[in-house]
Amino acid sequence: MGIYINGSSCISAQRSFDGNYSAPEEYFSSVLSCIEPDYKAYIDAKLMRRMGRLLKMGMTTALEARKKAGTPVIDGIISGTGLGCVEDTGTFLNRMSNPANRIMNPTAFINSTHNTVGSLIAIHLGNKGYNSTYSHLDVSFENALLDAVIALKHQQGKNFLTGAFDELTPDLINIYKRLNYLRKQEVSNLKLTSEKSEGTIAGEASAFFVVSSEKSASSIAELQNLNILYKPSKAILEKTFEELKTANKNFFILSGQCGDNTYDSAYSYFEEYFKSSFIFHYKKLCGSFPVASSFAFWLALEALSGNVALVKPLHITDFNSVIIYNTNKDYHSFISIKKC
Amino acid sequence: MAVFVAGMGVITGLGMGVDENFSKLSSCLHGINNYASEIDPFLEGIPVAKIKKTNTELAEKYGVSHNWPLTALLSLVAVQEALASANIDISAHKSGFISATTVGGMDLTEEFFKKYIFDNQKGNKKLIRNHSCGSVTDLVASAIGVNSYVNTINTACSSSANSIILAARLIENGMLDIAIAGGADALTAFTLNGFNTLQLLDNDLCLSFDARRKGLNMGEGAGYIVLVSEKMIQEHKCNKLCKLSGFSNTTDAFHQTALSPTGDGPFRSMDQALKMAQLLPGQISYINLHGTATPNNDLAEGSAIVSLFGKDIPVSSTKSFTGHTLGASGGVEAVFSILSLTRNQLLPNLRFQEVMPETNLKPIIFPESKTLNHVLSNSFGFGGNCSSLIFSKY
Repeated sequence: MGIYINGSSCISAQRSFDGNYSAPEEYFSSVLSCIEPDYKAYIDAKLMRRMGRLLKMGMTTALEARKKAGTPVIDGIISGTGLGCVEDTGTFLNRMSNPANRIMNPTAFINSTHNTVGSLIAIHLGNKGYNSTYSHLDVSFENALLDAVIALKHQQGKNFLTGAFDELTPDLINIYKRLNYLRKQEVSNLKLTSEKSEGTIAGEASAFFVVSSEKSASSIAELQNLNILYKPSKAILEKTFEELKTANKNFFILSGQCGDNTYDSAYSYFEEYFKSSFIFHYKKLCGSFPVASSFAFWLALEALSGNVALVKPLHITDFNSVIIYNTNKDYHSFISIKKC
Repeated sequence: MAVFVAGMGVITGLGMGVDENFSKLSSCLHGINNYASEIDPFLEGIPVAKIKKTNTELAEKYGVSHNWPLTALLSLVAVQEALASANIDISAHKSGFISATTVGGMDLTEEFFKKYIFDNQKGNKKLIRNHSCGSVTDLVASAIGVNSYVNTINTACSSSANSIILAARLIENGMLDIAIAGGADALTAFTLNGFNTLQLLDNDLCLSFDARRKGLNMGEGAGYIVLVSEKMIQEHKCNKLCKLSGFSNTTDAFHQTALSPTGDGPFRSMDQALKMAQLLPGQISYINLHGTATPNNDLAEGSAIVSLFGKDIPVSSTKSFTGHTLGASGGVEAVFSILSLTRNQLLPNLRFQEVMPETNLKPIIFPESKTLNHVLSNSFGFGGNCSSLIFSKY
């Protein structure tokens, strides 16, 4: 059974949402913020008043992805998020922690729960099907995708809205700085991994996709491989590399290096094995955050649709498949998609 | 392909371990004998069910750092009991750990914030290292030595039921032979204040499924079951308790914080689980209710039950003993449901006096020995996520 991606939408630090890009956006900052649309065009104004930023991003990309897929009946909604709705969590925490002013906002509490985005999308669409939210470090998106694949294989439905989202807030950025996660000197994001150093550039995004068992005129790509490995042995890793090479003939790679020396050392085995392939470090474009691989997924779909302006210089012209690799020490994830 | 339960572990305000919890359930002794002010001094007169061990005691039991978030400590304790009771070698098979939590490391983050809000350069950074849901799971995964797969679910109050469902599907799909699934949640000022602000708490002991109910009591805890493939059972590689014969995850899609009064989501959740288990409503011996004692939940759940099962089906809410353990409740109540099934004991619903006029459902008042064949457990979360599990003798 084939698994197809029939719709895709992403809000990120690139012009991903409106697709109006001819070159990557360049920033000189240790923090990349999203280029956001005017949400009024997508969400009812009354609803919006009670929605935090991440909710708006999630809802908008979910609805757009569905629209691009030809507005199919959705059988379930599956989300991934590393940190959930940080803004609302912070709002509630700030009020609660201040003995002088403890008037707390119930909306902030409700909206701080990780499955808020998934459930609001369900309420908006009147969708009564399967609904789940994963929050597991850097493989939150991959797990959402895996769940969709299992659901499709077991015929729990034909179309699953699958996506991921993570946001930055001033408090989170401050905490990242205090934890020495971020670059101390402001460099161009486009040189993130060419000039390695200590620290990375933080980012944020929301990306949603319609994952389907039905090939249609809207189908952009077909899912080939999806592996999420936990503390794999070298033998298992090599076996996975081999499987990827066999399943994907003309491919390039989107790899999740973030520019930090220590973090990126985990990528060396993979990079050595695939040294003759073209590897693009996608976090240059979107920054580092737990669900950055969902941006990579969007980027791969764009490239397979012929929009390659963001992955320049692309050293391979006749590719028909993209491999996405992401590792965070103990976890390794591989996604590959091929042109329909 | 069928999925079986080989072991289980639990820790709640009733005590540590399956036997201590069952003993209290059978003796009608609840654990809601703490107060929220023990966690947040500003919250007065709010009964809660805390676990009766200190963080240090829990940490020392398994030789981990007492600086772990409490959720991680609760999780580890229950997981270790589950593994021991399953009598299984997780290193010899494809093993996974699927946990759930709504608060993650929030108990320590709150400590951090006490200093942070006055000066954003203050607050001990170590306290926020394990803030996220996933990092709490990751700590426990490393300690227990699973080898293939680790994941965390957060769907509010249905979280750990959904962990169990994912685990079953991964086993059915051949990806795993063994999965430890469930969840943990510690009481935190964050969630206590959150529920208080939403006016969902009762200042007295909660009255589940009672016309007089006013709201829920919160609790903390962890509950996990060890799920295995049929092959593991056939090859005698573990203990065997019962079968997970049916499950479902569906959405009410009515409102962010309330279920539809007719209980549409709960109805479909239970109905789909029955269909999967190929059982008729009349074959269910006992329903362990979500039964939070909020006016809305109990009405919605009660209405759905009467529509599907009629009003004579034995039901009870063990939240009348443990309080609502949020992300842990699905896991904790899965353990209680399996205890009920395997020890042939209907579990009581404490403090019940008056039927809800809308449903006329009378919960079990006294523990009762009875041969049980199939037990259904409900978990309904904020956002309208409705999950049901059916455990069966085989």
